[in-house]
Amino acid sequence: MTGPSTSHIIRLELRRSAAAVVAVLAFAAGTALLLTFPQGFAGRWLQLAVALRLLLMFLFPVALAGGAALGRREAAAGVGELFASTPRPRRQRMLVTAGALAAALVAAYALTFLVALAWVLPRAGYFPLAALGVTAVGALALVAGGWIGLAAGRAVPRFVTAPVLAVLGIVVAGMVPQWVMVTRRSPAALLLSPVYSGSLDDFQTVSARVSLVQALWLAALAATGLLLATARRRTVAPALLPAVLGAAVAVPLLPPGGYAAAAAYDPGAVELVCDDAGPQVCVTRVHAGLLPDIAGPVRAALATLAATMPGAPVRAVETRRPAYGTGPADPPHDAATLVFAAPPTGADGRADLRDGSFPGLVLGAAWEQSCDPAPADAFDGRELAVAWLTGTAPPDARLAGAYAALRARPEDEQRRLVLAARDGVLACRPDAFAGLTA
Amino acid sequence: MRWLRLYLRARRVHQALAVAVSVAGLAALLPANVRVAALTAMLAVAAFGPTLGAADEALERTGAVPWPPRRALHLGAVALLVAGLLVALVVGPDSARFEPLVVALRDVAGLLGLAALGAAVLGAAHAWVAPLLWTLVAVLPLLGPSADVRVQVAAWPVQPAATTSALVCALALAAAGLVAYSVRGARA
Repeated sequence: MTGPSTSHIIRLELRRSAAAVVAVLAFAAGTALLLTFPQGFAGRWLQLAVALRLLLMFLFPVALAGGAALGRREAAAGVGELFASTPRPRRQRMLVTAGALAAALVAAYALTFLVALAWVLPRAGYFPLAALGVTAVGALALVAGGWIGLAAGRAVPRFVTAPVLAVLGIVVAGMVPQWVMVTRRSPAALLLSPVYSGSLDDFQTVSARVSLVQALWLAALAATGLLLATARRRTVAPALLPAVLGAAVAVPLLPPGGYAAAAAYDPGAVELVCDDAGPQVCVTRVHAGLLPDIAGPVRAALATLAATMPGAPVRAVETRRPAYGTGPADPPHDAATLVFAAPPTGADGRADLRDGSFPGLVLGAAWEQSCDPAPADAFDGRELAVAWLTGTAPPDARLAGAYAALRARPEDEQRRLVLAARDGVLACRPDAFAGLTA
Repeated sequence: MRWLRLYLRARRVHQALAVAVSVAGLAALLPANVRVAALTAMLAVAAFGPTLGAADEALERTGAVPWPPRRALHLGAVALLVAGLLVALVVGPDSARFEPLVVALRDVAGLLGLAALGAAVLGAAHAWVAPLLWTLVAVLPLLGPSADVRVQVAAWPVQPAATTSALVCALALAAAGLVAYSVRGARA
């Protein structure tokens, strides 16, 4: 004779237990929090995955608390003795609850991801597989949290267990790593926390090795939680084995330095996507969604340059150097190319040009070259050159004197100095801007 | 006195007190900052959540006792106790450790109001849910002290003492909780 199927039992458990309530709370609050900063991930898959992992700082404690509240159920109903008198093993009973909780939590996480995809898909030009890996690790972390909560709620069936466990979770997984990172060199064990800390550059990816090791460790942690939730008293010590083993294997395999060390430069993200309708404008694949918005301003800047000086650049290429974090420098470019930095992404996945600084930055990029060390006074020099080019005083009042001095010179001399600065920069001369800023 | 002793025992106040003292004691070992203070206040309040309801609420209500003033007194006593614990162990009476006293008192008042509201709506067993969720949101790095009123309200437990909207939010929660719980009691 066959009984009801497992999926049927789990569906029933979802209906009659609080697992679904936990999931709905996690989904509603998580989505609301995530959508307060859509500019952080709009148009970029991997940034969405990382944003969800940042959000684990909230979701992981909620999973712990939800599990603990659920684990209290038998004690609250006072049915422990009654159930113990039946021949059906505790394991079978708890596996159903654990399965329902895991399914509900993973569904909440996946649903949050799907809702946020509405901000990603319209402009996404690059899909790295790492996005799926990073998301999967987050879902696994929620399952581990839920099952550990289940075990704790069963072991200490009090009302206060759930909030205490949640606070322990946020302190251990979210706050302690931050304190440790600030105070001293971060050990490899920091990456045992599934809560992402810090930020990832658009040109970076989370290394597959770190995600794999984290998945291994979290699976071991989940196994311990499940064993503890289903164990009888004498099997508590063996139940801890997976987590201890998992940590022992994972820590030596993880790089020291926390999440900053887990990030790696992503050559796939920086492949160029070009717009050839007019002077060529190229951006990286991860920023391909910005191209329609910035092609116009960039071509306008190229036209301004061409109108005012000989040897002006005829094509523009986005820089492939990460804005923060480490990555290779751009290769040196010739005078015909302009290398600019993309503007930030707005909440709708389009380029955020509201502050009006982008055209000036593109013009200034004509006086930029990949040099080590950079020429002295490079920032001031670029600002002066742009001010001369556009005929407006530099926004930085400090440079008013230098700008007036430049303008006081004869017209030909002004042009000669500005062009000489550009030649100097392109050749990486350390004193390239001396003529302008002196 | 006998009534009080029986009441405290029936509501298991001693257990709640033990939990609250241990939590505050542990929090004193952590680096002192406004997030730790908010989490500590929330846990101490959560510990007293179950004391807001009786073992058999329906039965207790049949007693010929005016419950509303007693319930209000219960809330007031818990507020004083938790605030005292927080000040003695975590914040420090001279406000020298990190944050003005006002922040600790505001957090206790608002979170206890939230717990009382939760007890009135969901039952004393679930009084901890709303304070926990709101505090977890508030301590996110994403929502620090801010000039944006929406953030000030969303993260009211961690705002600086001079933030009016955070104070208003906490007082509104405290008042709503006090009224709802005093009048209705914990949901049976």
